[in-house]
Amino acid sequence: MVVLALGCVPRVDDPQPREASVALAPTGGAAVAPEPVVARLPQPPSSYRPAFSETVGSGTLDGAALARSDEECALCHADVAAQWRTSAHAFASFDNPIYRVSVEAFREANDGVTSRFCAGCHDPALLLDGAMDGPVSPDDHRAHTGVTCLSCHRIDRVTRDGNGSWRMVTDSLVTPTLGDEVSTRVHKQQMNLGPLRQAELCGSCHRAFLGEGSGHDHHLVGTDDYGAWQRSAHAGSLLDRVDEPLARRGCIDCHMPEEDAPRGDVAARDGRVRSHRFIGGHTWLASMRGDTDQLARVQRFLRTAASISVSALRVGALVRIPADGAALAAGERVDVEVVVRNMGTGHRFPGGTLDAHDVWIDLQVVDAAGDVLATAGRGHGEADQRFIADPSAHLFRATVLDHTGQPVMARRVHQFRAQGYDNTLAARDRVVVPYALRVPDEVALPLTIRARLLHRSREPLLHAATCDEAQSRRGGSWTRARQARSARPLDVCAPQPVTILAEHRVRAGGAPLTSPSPIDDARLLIDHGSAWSRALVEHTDAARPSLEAAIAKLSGTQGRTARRLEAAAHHGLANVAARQGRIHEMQQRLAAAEVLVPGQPAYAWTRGKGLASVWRNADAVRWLRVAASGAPDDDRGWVALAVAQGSVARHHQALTAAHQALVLMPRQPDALRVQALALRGLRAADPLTRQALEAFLTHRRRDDGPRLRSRCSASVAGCGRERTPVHRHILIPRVAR
Amino acid sequence: MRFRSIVWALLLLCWSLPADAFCGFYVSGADAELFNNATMVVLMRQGKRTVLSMQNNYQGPPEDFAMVVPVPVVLQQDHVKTLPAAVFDRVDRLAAPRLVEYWEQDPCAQPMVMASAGVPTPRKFGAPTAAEGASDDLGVEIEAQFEVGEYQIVILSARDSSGLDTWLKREGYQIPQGAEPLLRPYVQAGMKFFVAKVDVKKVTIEGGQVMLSPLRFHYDDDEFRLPVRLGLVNSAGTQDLIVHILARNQRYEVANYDNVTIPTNIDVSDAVRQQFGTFYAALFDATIAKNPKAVVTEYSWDSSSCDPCPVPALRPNELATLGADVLPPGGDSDETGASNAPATRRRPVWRGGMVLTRLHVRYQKNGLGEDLVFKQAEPIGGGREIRGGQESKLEHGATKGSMNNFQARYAIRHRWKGKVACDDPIYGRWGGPPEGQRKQQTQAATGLAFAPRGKVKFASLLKSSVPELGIEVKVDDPPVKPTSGADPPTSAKPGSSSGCGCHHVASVGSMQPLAWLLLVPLLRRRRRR
Repeated sequence: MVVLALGCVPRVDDPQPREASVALAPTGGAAVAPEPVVARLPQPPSSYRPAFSETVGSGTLDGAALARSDEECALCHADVAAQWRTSAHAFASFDNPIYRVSVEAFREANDGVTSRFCAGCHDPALLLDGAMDGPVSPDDHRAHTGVTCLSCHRIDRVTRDGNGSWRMVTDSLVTPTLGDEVSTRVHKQQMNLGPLRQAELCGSCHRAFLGEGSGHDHHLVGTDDYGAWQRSAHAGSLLDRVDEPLARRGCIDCHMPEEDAPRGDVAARDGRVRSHRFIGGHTWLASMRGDTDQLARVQRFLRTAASISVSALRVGALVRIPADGAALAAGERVDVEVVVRNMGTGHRFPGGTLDAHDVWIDLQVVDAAGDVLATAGRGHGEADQRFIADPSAHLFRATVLDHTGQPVMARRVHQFRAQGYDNTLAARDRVVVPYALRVPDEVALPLTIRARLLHRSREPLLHAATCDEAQSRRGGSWTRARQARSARPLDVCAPQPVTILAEHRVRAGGAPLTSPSPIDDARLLIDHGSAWSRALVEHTDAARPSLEAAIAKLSGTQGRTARRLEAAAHHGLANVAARQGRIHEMQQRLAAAEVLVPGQPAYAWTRGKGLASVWRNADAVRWLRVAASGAPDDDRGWVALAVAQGSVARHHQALTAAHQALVLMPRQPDALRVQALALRGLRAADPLTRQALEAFLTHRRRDDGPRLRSRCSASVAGCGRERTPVHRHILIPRVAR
Repeated sequence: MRFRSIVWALLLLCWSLPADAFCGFYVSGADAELFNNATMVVLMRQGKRTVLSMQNNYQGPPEDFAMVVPVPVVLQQDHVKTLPAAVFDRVDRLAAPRLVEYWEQDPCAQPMVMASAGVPTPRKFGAPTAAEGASDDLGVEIEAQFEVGEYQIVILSARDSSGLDTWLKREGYQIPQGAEPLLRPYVQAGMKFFVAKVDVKKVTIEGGQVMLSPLRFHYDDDEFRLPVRLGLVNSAGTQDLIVHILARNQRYEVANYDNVTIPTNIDVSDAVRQQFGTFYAALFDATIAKNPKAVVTEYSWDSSSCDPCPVPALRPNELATLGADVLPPGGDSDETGASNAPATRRRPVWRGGMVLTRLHVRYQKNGLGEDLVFKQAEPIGGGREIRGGQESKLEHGATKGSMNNFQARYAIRHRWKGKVACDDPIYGRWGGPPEGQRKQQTQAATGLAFAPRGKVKFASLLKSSVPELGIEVKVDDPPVKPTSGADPPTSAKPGSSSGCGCHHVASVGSMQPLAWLLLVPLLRRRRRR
C-alpha cells in the first residue's frame, strides 16, 4: 500500500516534527533497509511561519521572559552570562546595526509578518510575542537581547530544516535554590533538553533558505554552516581526500571551548565552563563595542582558520615549485601561484553569510633593494566604507545576484535571486590563485614575495550602509535606546579591524628563505596540485606535475605520514583522471593509494563519481554505496548513489538513497527529483508522485539562474573571472621610488 | 496524431553524468529506421562558457520528425539558434585537409618573390585578410547571422523535462524501448531538454539522406566534454565525428584518448587530384589503424588566417555566428575587470585570434566507450612549406612551437619542364603554374564521412615517405641545398617528366630571419588563392 509519508512513517533518524523528540541521530550504518514506498516531503512551517519555529507548553515563557533570561541566569551563572554578553548571539537582534540594515530593508520590501522569517533566529523574543508583525520600537527591550539563554536551553526538539527550525518549551520554570537538590535537579533537567549539545541545534539557525515564505519567487539555499560541517572531515566525512587524521569536532568543540570561570559560576567544573562567547569571526562587532578582550580572542581564533603559501612560479607550461628558491630572470613573465587552504574551519571558510565576509589576499613583490615592484589586493585593503574596484584582489566570498544579474551588496536579502559564484573554501579544501607578474628588465634579484591572508568581518559596502544607518534618525534612536540601557555606545563607523590570518614569504631568483623537510615539501606540492584539480577541466593537467613530484619526493621515505601523503598524491591524480574521463588511470592511481593507506572512503567516492561520469552507472553504484555508507552524514554520497541507482532503474534502491539524503537535507533538490522519479518508476499512487514532483519543482535550482549569471558575466566587471574556479589576477606594478 | 511506431537515431552530442550532458535523438512516426552517422561540431570555449553548434545528417523516411537534445539547464528560446549551413561549410573547408599544386619556377628567373609559403602572422580580430576583400573592413558591423531553417524549437520546462517520456507521448512521439535505458541517466541527473521539430518539407532529401541545418546553443559549465557513447547505439555502423574547437589563442586535444596528428606535408601523385577525399580517407584510416582509438588532430591554426586557403579565413561576423557573440568578455583571463563591482560596464570589444582546432574521430559502433573530454594543449606547427637544414628538407610532422600553425597539407608538385637558359639556374622554387596554364584551387577534402573506403592503393599515390606509418617512398633525386648557382643534381633534369624527385632551392626556412620576415607579407599575398 502506498501512503503519503507526512508523519506516517516514524523512523529513529527521521526528524518528524510531531513525533520524534530529539530525533536527530546520525543516519549511520552501512546497511540501509529498503525504504517503504513513501514520499519524504519537506515540512512546511507552522505556528510562526515563515519561520520554522514552534512552541509547546503552557505559554508561561513569553518573549519578554525570554528577553529577561540573561539577567536571571546571571544570578547563578555569572561567568556564562558575562561571556554571552560579549557574543554575537547577544547582538543578534535589532540592536545590532549590521543586522538592522538588512532586516529593516527586508521589512520595508515585504512586511512585518514576512520578517518572522528572520526572527526565528535573530529575534526569538519578538517572535514569540508576535512583535515582529508590526513596527519594532528601539525602546522595546526584546529587540536588544538577541539569542538569550533560554533561546537555546528551552529547545526540546529541532529539525534539519533550518530557518529557525526549533521547538521551544514554554512551560513555567522551576527556580533552583542553592543547596536544594530537588529544585536543582529539576532545573538541570529543564535547562538541559535533548538537542542542547547537538550540532543540529546550531543547524536549526545556521542553515537557511529563501523561498515563497520569505517573499522570494523561488527557493534559494542560503547560509548553511551545518551542512558544510556535515560534509567535512570534522564531522567524519572522508569523501574528499586522504587527509591527516582529524579528531571529530562539532560546533561546541570549536566555538564553545572550556574557559576559566573566575566569577564563581555554579555550573563550573574545576573552575571552568564551556565558553558562551561563541567565538567566530566577528571582529567588527567586538571592535564597535570597544571590547578589546573579545577582539583579541576572535583574532586568535581566526588565525587557526586557514593557511597561505606562495607555492609556485609558472612560466608558460612549466612550473617551478617550490617558489622559495625558484629560478627567476629579469624580463620574465611568470604566474606567482598562491595556495590558500581551509585548515581549521569546520565549515566553509569564511563561513556564515558568505556574501558578507571580507577575506582577501594581499600580495607584495619586493626586489633585493627593498623596492616594492608590484602588489595585489592593496586597493581592496584600503577600501573601508567605500567600494574600490580592485581587480588584483582575490576575495573569499560568495556573491548573490538580483533579478537583473547584478550582485546584491550590503545584505539586501530581499533582492536575492541566484548565486553568482562562491569562492569560499570547503573544510580542508584548497584553492590556487595565480597572479601575473612581469619581472622588470632591470631588477635587483632576488625578489621577495609575501602573501598575507587578511580578514575583515564584513564587506566594505555593508560597513558603509551600516554606518549610514547608524547616523540616520532611526539609527540615532536605537543608539539613544542603547544608552538608556546603560550600555556602551557602539562605534559603528570606525574602520573595521583587519586581521592577518596567515602569512608566507619566499625568495625567488636567489637562495631560498627556508629549508623545509621532504615531508613539508610534499605537503606543499600536494596542496598545489590538489588545488589545480578544482580548475576547469581543460586546465586540470596543471595539477599533475606537483602531484607527481610529491610522489617522487616521498618515494623511499618511511613512516606513516609519508605513506599518507603519497596516498593523497595518488588520490589527487585519480581525481584529475576521473574528471578527464581517464578511468583506467584513475583505477591505477586508486590502487596505488589503496596499497599505501587502505580503506579510505575517498577512494570509493572518486571511483563512483568517475564511473558515473562515463555512464557506467551499474559499476558506479557499488562504489557509491561504499562511499555513502562510509560517510553516512554526508548527503552528497546518498545523492550520487540515488542518481546512479535511478539511472539503472533500481527505483526502490534509488528511493532509499534519496530518503537518506533528505533526512540530512530535507530540501536537497537532486534527492527530491530522484524521489519523484523513483516513485513514478515504482508506479506509486498518483497523489504521492504528484506531490513528490511538486516538492522537487518547488526546490529545484531556479531555471533562470544560468541566465542571471551570464548577465553578471556580461555586464559586471570581474564577474566572469570570479565565476571561474581557478582564475588569474594581475599584480599591479608600483612606480619605483 | 498517432504514430504507428517510433524509430530513432541518436546523435553524437552528449554530455556525461553527473556533469552536464548533451546528446540528441530523433523521434518520428515513420515505420522505418532513422540514422545518423555523420556529425560535425563546432565548439567555442571561453572560461566556463561553451557554445555548441552541431550539424547532423539524417537518413530516414520523408516525414516530419523531431530531434530531442538534452541540455544542463532550461534554455531560453533565444539560446537555441539555427545557423546557416554555409558557415559550417566554411569552417569545414577552412580546416579540412588540403591538396595544393606547386610548379617549379623557372630556374633562371630573377628571384623576385619566394614562391613557397611561410608562417603567416595572425591578425587581430576584426582586421581583414587579403582574401576577405573590402567588404569586411573595419567599421563593418559585426553581427551574428541566424536562420529560421527547418526547425521549430520547443523548450521543455523543468516539469516536462523530468517527464520527458510523458511529454513525447503527449506530443505524439514515443521513446523506443531500446532508448529508454540510455535516456534515463539524463533524466535522473536532472537534465533538461529542447526539441527541434523538423518540417520535412523544408529539407532536401537525396537518396534518403539530408544534412540538417546546424543548431547552436550555449551553456556554462566547469566541464568541457563531448560524450559520444550514446551516439553509438543508433549508428548505422561506422560513425564519423569531426569536432572543431574555436578558442582564444588556444589549441585543444582530448584528455582521455590518445592524440595523434595526421601525417602531413606529403607529396602525392597527380592521380590524387581526382580522388583527394578517397586518398585522404585512406591516409586517415591507416593512421587510425596504426593508432587505434586515437583522436586525430587535422588542423590547428589561427582562424583569421590560413596558408594555403581553400576558402578565405573566418570573418568576424562568422565567428559571431558561431558563438563569439555570447562569449563572456574576458572569461577566465579577464584580468582587467574589477571584482564584485556592483556597477555595470560596457561589454568590451572582443579581441584576439581564435585558434581553430579540428579533431577527427571515426569509430565502429561500440568502438568508443567513453566521452571525449577536452584539455588545453600547447601550440603546434606543421604542414607548411617550411624547409630547414643543410638539405633544405621540408618540415615534417607536428612540432611544438609558440603559435598554432598545423595543417594537413598534401602537394602535387610539377617539375620545371621548360628550357634552362642560364649559367646558374636555381631549382626548387615552387609556386603557381606557368603563364597561360590554369591555376589550380587549393582543394579541401570534405564529406570525408562518406568518402569511398578501400578504393585506392594508398601507397602507390605517395611521392614522399610517411614515416609515421612506416611507409618508405624512394626519392630518386633528393633536394639540393638551396643555394643560388648550385649545380642541379644530375638526375634532376629540367623538363623531366617524373613528378618525383623534387628539387628545392631557397625557401623561407633556410633564409636569414630578417629576410624572411620581410618576405612574409609578399608571401601571404602570393599564396592566397
